[in-house]
Amino acid sequence: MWVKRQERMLLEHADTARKHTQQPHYYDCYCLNGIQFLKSTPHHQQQYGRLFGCATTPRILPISASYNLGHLQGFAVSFQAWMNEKFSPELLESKSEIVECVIEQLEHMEENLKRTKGGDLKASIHRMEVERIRYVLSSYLRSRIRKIEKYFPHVLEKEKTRTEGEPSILSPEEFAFAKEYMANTEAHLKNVALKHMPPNLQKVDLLKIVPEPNLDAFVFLRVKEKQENILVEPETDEQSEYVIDLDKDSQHLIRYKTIAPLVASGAVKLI
Amino acid sequence: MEASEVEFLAEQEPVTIIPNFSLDRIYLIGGDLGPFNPGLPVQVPLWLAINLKQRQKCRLIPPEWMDVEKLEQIREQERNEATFTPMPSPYYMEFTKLLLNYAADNIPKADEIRTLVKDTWDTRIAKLRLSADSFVRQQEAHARLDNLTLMEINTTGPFLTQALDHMYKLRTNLQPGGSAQSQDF
Amino acid sequence: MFLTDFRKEFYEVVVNQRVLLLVAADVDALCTCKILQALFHCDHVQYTLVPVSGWQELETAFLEHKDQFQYFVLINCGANIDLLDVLQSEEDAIFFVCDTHRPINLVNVYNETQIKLLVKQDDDLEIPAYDDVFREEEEEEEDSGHESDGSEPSGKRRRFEEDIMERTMKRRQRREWEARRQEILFDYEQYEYHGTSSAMVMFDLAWLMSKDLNDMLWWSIIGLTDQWVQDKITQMKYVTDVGTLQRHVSRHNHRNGDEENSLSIDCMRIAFEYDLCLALYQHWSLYESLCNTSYTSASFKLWSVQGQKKLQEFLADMGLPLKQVKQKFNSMDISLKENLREMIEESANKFGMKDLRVQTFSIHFGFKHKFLASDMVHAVAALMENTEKDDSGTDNFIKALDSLSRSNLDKLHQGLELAKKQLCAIQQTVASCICTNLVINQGPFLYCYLMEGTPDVKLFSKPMSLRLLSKYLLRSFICSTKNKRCRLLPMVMAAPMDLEQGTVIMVGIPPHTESSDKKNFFGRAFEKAAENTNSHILYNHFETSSKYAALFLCVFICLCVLCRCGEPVNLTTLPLQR
Repeated sequence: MWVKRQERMLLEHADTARKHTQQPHYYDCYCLNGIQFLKSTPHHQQQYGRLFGCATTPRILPISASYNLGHLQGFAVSFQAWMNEKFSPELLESKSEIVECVIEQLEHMEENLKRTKGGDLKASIHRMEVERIRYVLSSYLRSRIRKIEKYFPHVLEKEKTRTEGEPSILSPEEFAFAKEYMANTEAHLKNVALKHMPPNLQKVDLLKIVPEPNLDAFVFLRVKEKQENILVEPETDEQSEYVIDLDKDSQHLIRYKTIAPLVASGAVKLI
Repeated sequence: MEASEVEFLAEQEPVTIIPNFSLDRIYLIGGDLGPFNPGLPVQVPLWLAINLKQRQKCRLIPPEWMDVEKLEQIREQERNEATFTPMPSPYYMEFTKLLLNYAADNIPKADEIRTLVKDTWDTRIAKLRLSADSFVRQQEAHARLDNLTLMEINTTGPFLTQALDHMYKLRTNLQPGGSAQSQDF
Repeated sequence: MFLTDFRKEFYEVVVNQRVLLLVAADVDALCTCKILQALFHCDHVQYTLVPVSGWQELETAFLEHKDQFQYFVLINCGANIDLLDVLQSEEDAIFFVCDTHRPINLVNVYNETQIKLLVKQDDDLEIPAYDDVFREEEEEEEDSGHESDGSEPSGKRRRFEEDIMERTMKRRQRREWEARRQEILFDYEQYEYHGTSSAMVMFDLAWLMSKDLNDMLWWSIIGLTDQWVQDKITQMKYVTDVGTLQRHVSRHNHRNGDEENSLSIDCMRIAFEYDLCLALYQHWSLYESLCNTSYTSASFKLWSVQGQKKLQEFLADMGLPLKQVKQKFNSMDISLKENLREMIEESANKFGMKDLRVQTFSIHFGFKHKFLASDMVHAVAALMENTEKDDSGTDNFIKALDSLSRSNLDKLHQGLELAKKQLCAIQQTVASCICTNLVINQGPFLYCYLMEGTPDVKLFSKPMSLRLLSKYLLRSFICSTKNKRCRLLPMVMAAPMDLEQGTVIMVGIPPHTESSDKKNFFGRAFEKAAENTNSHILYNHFETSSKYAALFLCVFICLCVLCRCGEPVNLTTLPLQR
């Protein structure tokens, strides 16, 4: 009876987790083979709130040996950031705190794993999980770098013209990388071709020659929060624009442009 | 997204196993698992279940929808409806493939299940192809595709979106002017 | 020392360590290796696999790796020599030896610390007692101690005399003990034979740990069948072992009859069969198989014209049209295939072939893959001794190892093709040797030397193929000759191994009798011959009955001269009859 109540509470919490991400959660401390982890700081806890989503989950579950449902949902959020970045045509907001958090967790885990003796079942399971998380992380970073390299002048332009309150789309390292890439490309073009051209043709405007990200690309999305009155622009001149509602948990195929702000806010996710 | 990446996502889903070893609770980064006691069922993510099965440390229990009668019903329903019916699991294809490849001895009537799932898949992909075809032909700007699983979207998705992009570029380039358009074809 | 609890004393010791696996180049060792690898994979044990085909390679591999490993597992090598002496290992190195070669060297048996033997002790090992063979070296000190007492005053003269008496008694006792020891050792080591298949031993270990799978059971079946195909164990032992394995097979494969819970068609099933012992007949045509199996070819005397006629009669007797029989077996009419085994057995009995059917196992998976255990043995052995391309021994070993997995069917089919070629080559060579009287009766033994120009002679530069050839040749020769005495003679066979270095490979096989206990004395015999004739012999193979001889020295020159002049050669007196 008490078990059922606990599980119901868990599910309710998981559902309303998004609204309560301010709550700290996750481990206060962590045990692996008797070696204590650090206590996670409030900073970590907040970031973990965004990464793993779920807020208040009781540390000790009653006897039922079940995979913690809250964390299941939570993990989906981290994968969501990865998938959004993969499918969106433009570079999305940089989630560098989450990345840092994940890297730190992975490093802690690896250090602990080094201390355990080889051949242990627990250690091998942990190692497998570390590999999986590492794959997601590096795939995420790689798609970001691919987009930076493809659209570097526009990205840098956007960064330059962004207002104070807006979050940056580049992390500091990525910013440095983009600048260096730009400088290198300019130098390369100059050395290979431009300096041999007649003087009045030696200038080139990278913003004009490098293609922009195509915001009119079609994407598939899945709705997490109900939205209303989304404008759909017509394809041909004969059609007129119309308005649709996006119901929760429905899936759509639509142009990226109209729903870009929804992706940034997390109301929809790309699939 | 490649099929292997969709499978990667599917591997996060929980599945029940019966271990033959004992281990106390383990605290993974993504969640807690266990404790493991021989003979008692426990839920673990699919990637761990497959790995333990390969090391002969557990027995897999097929999910409840992986049953001949249920799958027959689903298949009939899919054939009769014109739209997509909801599937018992958003990752039914990956589950079937992984479980039947690695744990066929734990699943009764594995061959029939394989055939039924494949039939359902074929019907759904055929419907998807038809609707993609009409989408492009009628130059729609929006489509609603509930009940499609990620694996199905990923079979035609990339091709469809790229085709639509090309058509859009062809159409808009008929109109002169505009800012720096994408030049890559 | 012999291990009693394999799990505790072997597996749990190595499970957390890095291990070096040294595996001999025969099919049984390959199967054992496969089973052990599967167990290691389950438990994430780190290991290094080194195939070794002879003592030299074993020593080289050991020298290379001895600094990195503390635990060594030797499969089908190392039991019949003094390991610690030959390998010169450190004090802390531990060797686990799983070997079928007998007799086991006594130093290995009585070493308590470094050598652990993974063998079943219910084989008739007949190990002499410790005290009969080993003795403490205290005698010298006692003697010298007594001698210093000799210069004592005359009051102890009687004791002095008694001392002398004691000393002479002791010396005599010691001499008697030495003589007895020599006798015991001689009896123990004169015959070489084989024990239970290592693959079966390893499967037992897996079963003990409840990690046995159908795959492992199949590999242990192949290991046992290899011993039978190569004539390493007696018929009695084979039947006993088949019975043991049959119990495991029924335990694993009882779900086949159950309609409710039947397994997927892709899962493998093993079945017990009482099938024909025609080599590769299901992957060949029946006619070819009859021609190329030594039993049938020798019984019909297929090298002669009458033999061919007899074969036709045999087929006619069964009512099998020639056209059907020459087709691939899978394409034969189903109506003919249905009762084929019983029909063949009946007709064979009429023609004097009583043992055409043998108890064996078959494996079945997917919709078209069915293999008999003996098919697999021939295929894997052919892959391992493949001389077609210039691959190194290691490459062939790895290829053969891979072909044992069910997912590498293309390699297995390649092996089957090679095995067919090998069997054809063997039969042709046998036919030509008998027709051209190349088999010479030397008196105490039969002898045959393959000249360089013989077709396919390159195939026979490997020990297993040469041994197979000599067995078939002996059997055919016995059937072809009228000399009754020849039937009891053993055979020595030689073939050129490396033309540049002028080396020759020799095998010796015991006489072919129905009730032979498969004990081979040629190991000792070759050693003695080498000593007495000063020829340079390289004891490379783990089977001491096959040897390399470098440079045609005495033994060969004598024998070659004999071929030309017909003069008898006085070879050393060897105890050749049992």
